[in-house]
Amino acid sequence: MSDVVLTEERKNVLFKIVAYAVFISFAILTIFPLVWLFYSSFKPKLEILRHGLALPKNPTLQNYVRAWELGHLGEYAINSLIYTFFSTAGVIILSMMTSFAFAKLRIRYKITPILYNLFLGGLLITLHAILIPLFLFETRIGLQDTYLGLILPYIAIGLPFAIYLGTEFIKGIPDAIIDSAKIDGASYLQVFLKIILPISKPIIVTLTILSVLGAWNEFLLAFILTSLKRSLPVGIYMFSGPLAIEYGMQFAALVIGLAPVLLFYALFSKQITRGLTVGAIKG
Amino acid sequence: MNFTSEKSKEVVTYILFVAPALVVYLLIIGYPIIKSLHLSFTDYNVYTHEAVWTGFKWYTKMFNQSEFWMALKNTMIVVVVSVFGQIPIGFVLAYILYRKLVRFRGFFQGMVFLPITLSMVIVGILWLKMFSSVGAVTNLLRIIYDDPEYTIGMLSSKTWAMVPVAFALLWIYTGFYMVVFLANLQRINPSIIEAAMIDGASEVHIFLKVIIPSLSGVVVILTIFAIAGSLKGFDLIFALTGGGPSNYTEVLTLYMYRYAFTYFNYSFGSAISMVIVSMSIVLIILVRVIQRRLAGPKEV
Amino acid sequence: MFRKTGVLLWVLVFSLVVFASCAGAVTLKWLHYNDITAPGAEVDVDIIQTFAQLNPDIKLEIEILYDQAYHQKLAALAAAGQLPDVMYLWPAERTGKITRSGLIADLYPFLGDDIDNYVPAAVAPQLLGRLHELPMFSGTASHMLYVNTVLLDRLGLAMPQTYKELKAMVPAIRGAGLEAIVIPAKPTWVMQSCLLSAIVGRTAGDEWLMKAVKGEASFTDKGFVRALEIVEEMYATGLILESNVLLGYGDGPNVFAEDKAVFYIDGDWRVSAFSVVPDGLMTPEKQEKITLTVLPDFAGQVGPSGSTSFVPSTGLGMKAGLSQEKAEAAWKLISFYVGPIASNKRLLGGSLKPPSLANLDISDVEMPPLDRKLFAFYPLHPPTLILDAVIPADGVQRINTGLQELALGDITPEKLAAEIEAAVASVR
Repeated sequence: MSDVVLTEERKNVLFKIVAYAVFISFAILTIFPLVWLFYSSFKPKLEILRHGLALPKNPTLQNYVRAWELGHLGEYAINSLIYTFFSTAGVIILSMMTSFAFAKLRIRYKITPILYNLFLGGLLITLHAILIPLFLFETRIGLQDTYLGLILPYIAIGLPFAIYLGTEFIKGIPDAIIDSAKIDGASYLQVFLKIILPISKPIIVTLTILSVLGAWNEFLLAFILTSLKRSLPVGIYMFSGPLAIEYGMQFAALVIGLAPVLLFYALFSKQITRGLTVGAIKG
Repeated sequence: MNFTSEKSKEVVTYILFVAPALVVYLLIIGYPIIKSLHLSFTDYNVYTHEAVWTGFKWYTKMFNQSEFWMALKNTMIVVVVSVFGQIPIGFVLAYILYRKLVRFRGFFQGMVFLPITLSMVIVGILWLKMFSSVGAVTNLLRIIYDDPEYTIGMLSSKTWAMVPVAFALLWIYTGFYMVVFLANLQRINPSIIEAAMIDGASEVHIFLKVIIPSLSGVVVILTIFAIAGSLKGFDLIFALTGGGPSNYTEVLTLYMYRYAFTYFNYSFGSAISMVIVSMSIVLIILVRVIQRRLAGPKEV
Repeated sequence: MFRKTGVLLWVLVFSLVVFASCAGAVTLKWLHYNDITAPGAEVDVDIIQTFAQLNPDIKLEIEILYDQAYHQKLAALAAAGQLPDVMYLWPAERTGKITRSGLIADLYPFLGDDIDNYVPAAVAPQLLGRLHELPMFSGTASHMLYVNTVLLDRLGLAMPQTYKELKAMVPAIRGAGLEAIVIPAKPTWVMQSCLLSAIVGRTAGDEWLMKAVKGEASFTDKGFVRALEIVEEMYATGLILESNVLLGYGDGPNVFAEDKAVFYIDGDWRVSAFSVVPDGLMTPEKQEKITLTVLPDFAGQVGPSGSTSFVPSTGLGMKAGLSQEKAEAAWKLISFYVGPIASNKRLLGGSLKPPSLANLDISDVEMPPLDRKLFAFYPLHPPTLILDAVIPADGVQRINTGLQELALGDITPEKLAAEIEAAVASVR
């Protein structure tokens, strides 16, 4: 009897050790690079070169100042804000409208499944399939390197998943609520604004988070489609890409690039994980 | 009478509500995809805008290139790591959190999930610096091995260069799967489990008969998601290795980028992107088929 | 009535004045090339700002990119028919697709008689016999062997006179825990441009190379294969460590400056990383101890002794078909960029190379020691061709990635040569 209990206990302990080990490894993998990056960014170039791991002996803010100025990072951060804000707003508005139509105005329209699957097909399309023609097309009509030129693609790319989530969610709203509102004389627009949108808050939160993270961090499209109106990730890549010599400035640039998201995550991690999984649960 | 104007109101509303999204979508995704397909069958001179029909020439060239097969192999490695690495590990982590086997759960969950929220390019550059000659990892290893010249051999090996890349991918994306699994686990009605335990079911039994079935739907969706995501992946590898050395860590998307934007062969690049899209469609259909086969006997 | 005419007159005068000042303002779109994070970038910015100050009637819209991003952008703009008015160009194949397409103006007419003020090599005809860009410097040596004589002395070694002697040094150098030759070979073009080109210039020669490009000779010929074998051997014997294939381009100078290697191979443009004031990697005293030379002679080489791979320098060019006004403004910019004021700034700012202007007096210019050595370098080393300046892109691509495979021992010289020949043959 006691033998069995002991083995059970030992198994538990072993399992616990392994569990902790795995999680601690993940934590280290996440924290260590960030910590190293952070304190290294305050080291002058020569110190980084000679003492890669050590803490700064002569800490300096110069790296940040020069990175910010030379790299126009302030300008790029503002651009990123513009891209993120407008594309997120765009995706939410357009997808909610379309989802409402697909989910509730669907009664007679055989066209809805066709359109719906058309949008869903977009999930399979890789960015790269449209990159080249999009690039050539935008350059030809002068949309290249304009705010709209990047916002529209961001919206278009966000639409498939947003419409998928939105439609599924709105389908779940009881028809009775809508019907009674219509009987009371409400127009479709009023139904949309006063009933659907408020009920859809969870989905809207999810979509907002996804869109914000996606747009803020997006690289390839921004890289190809912008020159002067760069976003922050592109600016940082140009600055600290594989060719650069100035370690200190590069590290400072990387910290500047990561700081907003880290802050966002630190403040809103619960909402983020909750929001993302609300959507995923529907599967 | 009322009926008709009601109907027409609905029609108008439908059009108004759907049109904007449709227009943007067709403009940005619809038209370019068709153009891309067209480009892949022509030889496009960028300066004169002349497109000469070349049929399957680019596709033949592609399948005859060893670079293509290397890129394909590397892409498949990424897919395999995602489906058979990130998803299971994500599940294990979720299960550990769900069964409350460790403390500090909030902290650990946060740490595992954090990487996904970061810009992949920045993470790539960060890891690049860490493994460079001034980097933390290199210096650490030099101290450990007591060899001031130590460099990681795998990074330049034709066979193993993808290993560090796969490792980075695991670290970054597992958190997403963990969070999704956790959310789904938490949705399982605890009374079912309690009832089973009262009936004397063992831990393993509960696991197999209650937990796994309730997650099967999610696993399929996540698999599809993982496949689509792996095939699309670009930013991280681009920043971390650029496909190098030579083309040892190049995946299909990087391969396409190289030919389209470094060698300016837009037609060839389009052909490659068509192959990538086809692959994702095929793989996803495959997953669906497998799902139906496995679920088959149960569906009555 | 008088009032009316008075008002009318004022309106006329006023609008003429406004019109005249507006007419004077020309806007030039300029796609420029520079690494804004590199030491010495401020000199370039200073030159641009000075031009702007001296020419208030010319408005500059500049975008500055570097390396891949620059070439991509340029190609994209060309493809869309939206070339900038002024751009940074290479004399040969690097921007060959664009210059060959007739989209770039010929600068000879603008140069006119001024041509005599320039070093002949700098204003020699470029592609299609035209002058697409006005070179900043008299030329660029893509291969240079930087030697740390302090380390040499410490090891009791002398400058190697032949490749054989260089190889023989490896045990002693490695035994002391140092690297023999460091080359930042991570970007694929580095080994081709800074190493292979010079070797091919010796073992196969320029004449052969031009024949091979045309198809009258093959890349599987002995001389070229020998060059590949030498590269393979350098890695195999530890003359160059395999880890260099992972060494980022920005990390190379740092490693050399930290006395971790006896020799360093890179282009001549790298001198500024060491010598620029104030952030250069080497003090003037240290610079005195560095020798700038080339790889020693190989047994049985056909090319000239002490040669380096060389190409005319880069510079600015303008789009073809600009309006008279814009073209004049563009020419002002292009010639200013290489003129006396700019050249002096570069010299003082430590940007090293002999300018394309002849007769520029440098005797009383305070230059870092390494820059002075650079000035003295060119007359001593005969030029040979750089591979990516004459070989079509398909071939260069194969060479670039193939060299890394060669270094890592994943391909044989013969096989690589055959693949290169096939790649070039497909576009001959």
